[in-house]
Amino acid sequence: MKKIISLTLLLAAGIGFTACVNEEDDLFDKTAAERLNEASALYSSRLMAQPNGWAMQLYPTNDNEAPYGSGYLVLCRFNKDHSVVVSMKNQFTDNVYRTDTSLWEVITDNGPVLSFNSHNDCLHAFTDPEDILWTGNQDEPNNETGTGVGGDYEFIIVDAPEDASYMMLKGKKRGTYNLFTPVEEGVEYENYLADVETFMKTMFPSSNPTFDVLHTPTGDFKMTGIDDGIPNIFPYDGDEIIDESFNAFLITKRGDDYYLRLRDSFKIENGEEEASEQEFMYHPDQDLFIGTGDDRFIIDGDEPNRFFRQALIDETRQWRWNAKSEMSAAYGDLMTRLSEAFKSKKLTYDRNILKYNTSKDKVVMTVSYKRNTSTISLDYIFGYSFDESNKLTLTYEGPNDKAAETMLTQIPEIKGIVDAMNGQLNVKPSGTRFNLNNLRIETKDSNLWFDIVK
Amino acid sequence: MMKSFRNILFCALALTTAGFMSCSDDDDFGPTIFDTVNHPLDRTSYSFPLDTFLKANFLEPFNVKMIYRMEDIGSDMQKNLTPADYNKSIDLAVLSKYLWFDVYEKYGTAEFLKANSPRIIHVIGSKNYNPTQGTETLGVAEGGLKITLYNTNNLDASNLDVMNEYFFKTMHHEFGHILDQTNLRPTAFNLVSKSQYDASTWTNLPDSVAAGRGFVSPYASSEAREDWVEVLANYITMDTLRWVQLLESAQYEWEDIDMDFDTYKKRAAGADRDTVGYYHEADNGDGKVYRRLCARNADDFVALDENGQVQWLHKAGFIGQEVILQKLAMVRKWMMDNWGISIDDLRREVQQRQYVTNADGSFQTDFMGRLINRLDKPSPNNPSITVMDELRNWVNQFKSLQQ
Repeated sequence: MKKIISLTLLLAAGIGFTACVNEEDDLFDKTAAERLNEASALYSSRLMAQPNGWAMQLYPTNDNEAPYGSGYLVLCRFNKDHSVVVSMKNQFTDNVYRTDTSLWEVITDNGPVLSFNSHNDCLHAFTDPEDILWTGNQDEPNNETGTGVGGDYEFIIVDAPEDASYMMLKGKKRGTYNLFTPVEEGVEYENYLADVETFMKTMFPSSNPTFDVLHTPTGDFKMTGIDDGIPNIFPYDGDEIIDESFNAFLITKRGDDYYLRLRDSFKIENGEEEASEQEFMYHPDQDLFIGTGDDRFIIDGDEPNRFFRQALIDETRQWRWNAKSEMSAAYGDLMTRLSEAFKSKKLTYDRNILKYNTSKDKVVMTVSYKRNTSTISLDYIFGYSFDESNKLTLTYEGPNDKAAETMLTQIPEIKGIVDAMNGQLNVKPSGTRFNLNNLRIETKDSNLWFDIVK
Repeated sequence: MMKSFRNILFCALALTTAGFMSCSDDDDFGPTIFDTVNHPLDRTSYSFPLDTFLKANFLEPFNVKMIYRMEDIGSDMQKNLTPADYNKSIDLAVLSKYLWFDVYEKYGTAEFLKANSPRIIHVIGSKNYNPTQGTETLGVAEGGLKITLYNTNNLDASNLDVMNEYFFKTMHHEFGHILDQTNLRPTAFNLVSKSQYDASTWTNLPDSVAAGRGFVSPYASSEAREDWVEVLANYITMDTLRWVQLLESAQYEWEDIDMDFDTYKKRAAGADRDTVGYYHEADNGDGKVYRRLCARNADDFVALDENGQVQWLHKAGFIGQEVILQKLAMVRKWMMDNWGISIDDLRREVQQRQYVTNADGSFQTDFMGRLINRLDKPSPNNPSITVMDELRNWVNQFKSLQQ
């Protein structure tokens, strides 16, 4: 043992002498502390460089389940007094606009790190370890006590260009990437969030029964469940469960443009072809989200005729319209005459309904009207067929019963509506292809069109 | 393993020595990598008032750094925790001074606080849950240097019961650990309840049952070192009425009986609850009835004596109340012998700062006989504001210096 110690001492002393043979000049003219302080000041200045702050695309975790893995749009303005104003509107604020002021600091314990280091009612909703009362269901509520959503409040600054055009921050514990983009001067945070919310609800309504389509250089993908912010993106002809791949996204607004950005870049690989896209800009003229880096990546809404076929026949959803619906002038004349005719009989025209009768395998158009307090329906039967592009052709076969036949005689204006439906119909979105809750039916007469809703 | 560890340690020491010997002509090691510049507080900073208060009242007089801007590397990285609200931090800072440092300074000395205060008080906003154990950590004392206080965001000066449990008791509890780490408690204390400690089941122990076993709280029954500081902290912060209730409960020995809730409901209807017992559901959902130990007949009903009185039994060989008072005496002596501080003085001072008193120093009570929170009552110095607001002004006064 003594020998080992002696040898060790000898060796150590030798190393010690050797170490002093060549003195190295200092590589840096500043201490580590000074350089860390400078880094803190530099990145603080970048955060404050945008006078109206930033739209932070916050992803608390990489989970595939809401609310843990959902994206949240959090607006924050970093002030020189090291206070930060944070605003948001989502489930954690009961969908009411909320803003709170707290402290911020760029610390340097793990590179430059943005720390929201005093409690903020907005941002720390994602880090509080309290149970989230509205998760799970009534019989089996989730219990998140001790974990909460599980998000970060400290973010490593991984990219902050000198022009402060954007910043990329990485959650310190969870490792999610959170993009900061500037909010233009003069934009009120509440209005910004309201605009994005309206856009989101318009483009991806929660009642949307369909899917959107992601076109890529190697093929198409379906995007289902996009309204909850974490769509399942899988090959168009693939299986929704076997091929499932969830990827959250957020909408932001820059100027008048809306952007859709996925949490994780969408990558495709097919032989030698490799490509990826993460961000898409909405082009209202084309009604498409087109990749900002690779315009071969395009997000499109569902094809309306295909959708209408599925919704009307397969899902037996009913579609209705009345005299107040959007419609062409010519179709409006038909509807006006119809209403007047009912009125002349001391009846009140109510509405039309288009539906599928599964037992008869026929499409039925109902014209309903009110007599006193009761509503009476008149059904007119159509045969149907679809062409290869899913366009529906209706063939009028006659009234469903004696009452419908009688009224057709008493109020011949009904025949005008029935005749308009007779023939090939073309279905279009009344607004955007991404929202097929409101559809426009174009009849064989291009002057006759009208909007229908579920 | 130990042998090789010692060798490695020795090698490292030798290497360092050789290095110093060989470089003895080089006494310039260059600047430290740590930031040693004494940065003045930034008057333009949003937090300047609180930063100034902390510097003037904790850092400069006692070398205590109160960190209210949460540092995750200074917290439990395995937990999901969240920072303290700035205004709640102000409340906690002034209350720490008012109910902790000022009290010890008054009955101890400034030197005592300088020598024994934690060097760091880390303030966390959220609760610190231990989900797998179903418990919650109220505070942590580490190495005699650092105290971490949790749940600051729920600090509410109008609710002294909650504040005592979460904050004031925790402050004295964790400070007690530091004092204990400095001057170890008497070994004899560890033996008083040695057979009663159970680190695994205390979470399901009702307060009264713990008292009957000689503990001031269920947590005190987990291990001796927690028992020691729980005696100190509870005695200082528990109001007189609760302390008397605790000692009253501690006179009785308790037993626990497995019983389903429906059976318990039938037996408890209209009956004396102390003898029938109290239903308590454990974390695992199992129900137990805790009841005072007394003479019972074959049908398990209370057997009264010839005067119609319940015959309380003591089979454990001790009375909880006597044990608690024995422990208190040891803590009292330890504090006096080591630091010359009377815990009775501390207790009276803390209580008088918390509760409304009469001119003679006695406590006022409300219509239900409870002590009255002094913090949300008008300040004697300025009746237009509450005592709590007056304390907050210790911080707010520095707003005038803010730019």
